[in-house]
Amino acid sequence: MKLLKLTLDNFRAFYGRQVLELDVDDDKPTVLVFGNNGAGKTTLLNAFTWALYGTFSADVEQQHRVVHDQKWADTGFGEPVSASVKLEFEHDGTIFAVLREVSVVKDADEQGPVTPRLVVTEVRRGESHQVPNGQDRIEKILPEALRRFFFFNGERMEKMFTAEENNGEVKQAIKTLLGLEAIERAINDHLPKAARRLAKELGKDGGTRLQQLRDDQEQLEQRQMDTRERALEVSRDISSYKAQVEAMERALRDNEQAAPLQKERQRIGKQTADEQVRLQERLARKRDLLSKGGFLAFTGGVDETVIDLADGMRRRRELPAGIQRDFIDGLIEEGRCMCGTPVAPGSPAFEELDKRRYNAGLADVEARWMYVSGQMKHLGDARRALLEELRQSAEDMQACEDTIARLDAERSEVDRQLQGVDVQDVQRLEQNRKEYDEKRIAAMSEHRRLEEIVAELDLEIEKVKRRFRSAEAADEESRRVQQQVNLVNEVLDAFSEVLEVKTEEVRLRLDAKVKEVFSRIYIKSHTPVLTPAFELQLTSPAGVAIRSTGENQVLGLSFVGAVSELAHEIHERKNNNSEEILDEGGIYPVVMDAPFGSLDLTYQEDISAALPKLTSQIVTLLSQSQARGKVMEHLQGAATRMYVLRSVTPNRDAAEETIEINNRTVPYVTHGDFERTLLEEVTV
Amino acid sequence: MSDQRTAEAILGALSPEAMKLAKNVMGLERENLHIKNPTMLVQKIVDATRELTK
Ligand SMILES: Nc1ncnc2c1ncn2[C@@H]1O[C@H](COP(=O)(O)OP(=O)(O)OP(=O)(O)O)[C@@H](O)[C@H]1O
Ligand SMILES: [Mg+2]
Repeated sequence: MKLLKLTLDNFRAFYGRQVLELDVDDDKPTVLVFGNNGAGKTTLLNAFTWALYGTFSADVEQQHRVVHDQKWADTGFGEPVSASVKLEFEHDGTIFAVLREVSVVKDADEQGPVTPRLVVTEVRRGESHQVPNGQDRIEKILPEALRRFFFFNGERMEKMFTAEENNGEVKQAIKTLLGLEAIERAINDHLPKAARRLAKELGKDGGTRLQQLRDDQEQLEQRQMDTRERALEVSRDISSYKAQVEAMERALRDNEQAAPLQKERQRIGKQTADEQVRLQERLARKRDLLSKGGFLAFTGGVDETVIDLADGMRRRRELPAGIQRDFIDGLIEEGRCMCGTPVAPGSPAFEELDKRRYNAGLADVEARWMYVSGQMKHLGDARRALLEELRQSAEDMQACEDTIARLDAERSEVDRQLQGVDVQDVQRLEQNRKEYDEKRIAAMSEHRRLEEIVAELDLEIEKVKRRFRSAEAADEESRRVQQQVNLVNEVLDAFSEVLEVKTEEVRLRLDAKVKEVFSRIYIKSHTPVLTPAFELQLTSPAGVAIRSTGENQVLGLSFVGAVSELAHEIHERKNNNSEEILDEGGIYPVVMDAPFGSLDLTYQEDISAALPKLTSQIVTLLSQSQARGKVMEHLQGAATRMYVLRSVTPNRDAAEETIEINNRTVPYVTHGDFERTLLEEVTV
Repeated sequence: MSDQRTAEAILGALSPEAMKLAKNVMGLERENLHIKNPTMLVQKIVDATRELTK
């Protein structure tokens, strides 16, 4: 596959028609495209895959807005509007044009989701034909399972080999790419069918030896097919049990962390409740104290004042003396004693009365006084005690409140740690895990048993085929049919063996290639390994390596390089040896967005030097800051074409920018009426 | 891989008719690779086989 031209029409950030010419010279495989942040590099990468497969990568936002916003806004209701990407490429001597297009009549302010239309045309010997099953054709040229190896974002490369990615799919896709799928289809489907169809000619009466053997074989094959199907079901079961077990284990692990936290939370909850009860008790006690002796709080100093006051009054003879004194007052006023003696003022009787008058009631007062002052002293003590108790109670309550506040803080921390943990019943989880694991183990042994049956049936089918091959034919006609079936079987057997050998060969060569490319760019003594299941691993002297983001990127680039180099080699060999019936391969382009991702400058330099050797055509999308010094030198040295994505912005506050390419100053950011991106070729 | 056999050696050991049929089949498979269930393919293999055993 050789990319020739990409044509964008109102596609996303690209307004109007923008064209990217892609054909390159053999010794300069690179097309370099520079663009600012937001200019449209990722959009351009996605334009390739959107054209080929009709979808965007997951990181693209607002995927339904395929038509340029301004174009959409300028379209009136009821008017048609469209956006498209056309990718022209050459494959195996045929030129293809893949056109993906959304075309709608505007009926809302916002764009809605639409399924794009695909038109694939091929030009062969100067004539252009539309390919009816375009998507199938694309799938055979560049399987979608491999798109992430040929159209990728360096920043997301670490996702390339994560466990979620389907390696089985990758294995199949690599087979397609390296031409093994054709032989696989012959083995699994078409040759056995052809043999069966030929054997039908033997007739149906079942009397002859050949007929008998043919029917035996058919039965055996049917049984084998059923067993295979059953095995496939079981293996699907195994995957789902395994997923269940893993989910349970994850939940258990979560709960393992969560269990002590949950206990802690319970403990804190209980303590908080206890402390609240205590606080309530103390509050009640305070209320009690206040209701019974609260008045005392307001008696501060009253007692002393009363004592002083009374003392002074006594001294000043101001102390009241009650009824007795009133009575004497009455006598004096009347001027006559109770006994009838007149009491004139100044008389000895008057003097006596007056003296009595003063002393009258004093003893009474004295007694009362003694009582009052006694009470007063007691009052003071009671008040002091009350204040002491109140102080203590306030202190206790403060302590309770402090404890509750501390517990609240502790609980908040535990809650934070528990956030997002799916808290479940550990015992039930453990039970479920065990159940699913037992099911999984049972299914695995069932699967092994089924595979053994398939293998046994293989042997039996072989035996029957051998007998068929050498059986005595009853007549000339049967003998011919026997010959025909034998011929097909001969090819079938050889192909089966070849596929096995080839698959292993491809794996070994790919493995060697990845190792070679990886060590070319990476300093550490890590070694990539392609396992028999076609999984790519990285090993360090300590075993399976724990991969950093950058290491994943280097690994990814190595794998991409290895696949395309190998495909290329196989293709070359085929071209040199036209008798070869197996080799296929081909040349494949690589389109990279931000190829250096998060790599250090040294790796950027090494990779920029290694990239052009990886494959025969590389489209590299990067920003100016990603191409400095040596990196830029390497990249430019290998470039047939260079483009700039010129960002046009209506924002007059943003400064216009230029970029230096080949000592030429090229506009990079310019002012204009509305946001859009222009693709401009820079002469190399 | 049980032994050191190469794909070339395996194919090289085919009888001349089988070799012709093998090439024929691979050609047909390649041509039809992009079609999920090619209707005529099996019949074409059958025909080629008959042709070779005349
Ligand atoms: N329908 C649309 N109409 C107009 N502009 C669009 C539309 N869809 C996307 N865009 C714009 O295209 C730009 C997307 O750019 P893209 O992600 O391709 O940038 P980039 O060059 O990869 O940037 P970075 O260097 O930051 O990765 C955004 O600015 C987005 O607003
Ligand atoms: Mg981007």
